[in-house]
Amino acid sequence: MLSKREKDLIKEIWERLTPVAAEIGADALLRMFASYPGTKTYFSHLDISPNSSHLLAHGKKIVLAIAEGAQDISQLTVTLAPLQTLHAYQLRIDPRNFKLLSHSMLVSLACYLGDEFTPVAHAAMDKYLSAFAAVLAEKYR
Amino acid sequence: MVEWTDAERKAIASLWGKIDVGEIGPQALARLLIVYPWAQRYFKAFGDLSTNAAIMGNPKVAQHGKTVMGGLENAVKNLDNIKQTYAKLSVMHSEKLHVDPDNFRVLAECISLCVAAKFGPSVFTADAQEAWQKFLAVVVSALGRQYH
Repeated sequence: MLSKREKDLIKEIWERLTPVAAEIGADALLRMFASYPGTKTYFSHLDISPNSSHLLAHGKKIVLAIAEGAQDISQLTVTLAPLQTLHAYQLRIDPRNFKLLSHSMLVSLACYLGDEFTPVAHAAMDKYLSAFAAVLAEKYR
Repeated sequence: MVEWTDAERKAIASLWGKIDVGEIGPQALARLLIVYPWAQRYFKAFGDLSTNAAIMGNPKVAQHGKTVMGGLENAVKNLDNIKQTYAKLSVMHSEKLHVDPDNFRVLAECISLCVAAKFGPSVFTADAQEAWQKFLAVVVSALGRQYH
């Protein structure tokens, strides 16, 4: 469960990261591809080499969706409804991969935020990304 | 047998050379207990773990974090034989300590995040992360190996 303080912290962090959404997103994706090569199988249609325009665009899309969800976490199911449908019926990414991206995203945040990535921020972010992934997978079955 | 590329060996050695076990170890263990509070079940003898501040200031947590992190030295020195190197520790964690081996994986994640926060993206690159996480995954696997 996320406390009000945690929700505010999450919202504040993602608001601040919105201007660098492409960089953070691309970094997280690159880390995921390097550590978990199986995840690359979902991207055979894109150029996912470092700094490619595809990678930056895709990273940006993902981070902006996460940031949007953070604006009002209690409304996550409503906000993510279109993405739920997309992932369940079209993309059909195995939801176990969401954990891998979440971890990679946390590493990117840790690298980017350094000391600011306190244990409190870490816990809040981990909980939020878990909730996000769970909602995203809701329509799968 | 685990296959390590030269690049991976180098990356692991380089990162290990930079890591202060007395710093990262306590941080990682504290994070485990804060982010995954159910892990506190194994540390009832450690005293006050009731708040984040208590956990972060707890000397037993700090000492144990240092011990656990220092234990990785054996793995770094025996990259080609980690399974054997950790066999006794695995038995101990299973038979004596009764630790759910999933905690090893989760602690490894906390360690990686502490390393990332400490060294930033220019040191903890995607490739460095891959090598480091592969290394920790092998350690985690070795620690869980003797459970039955």
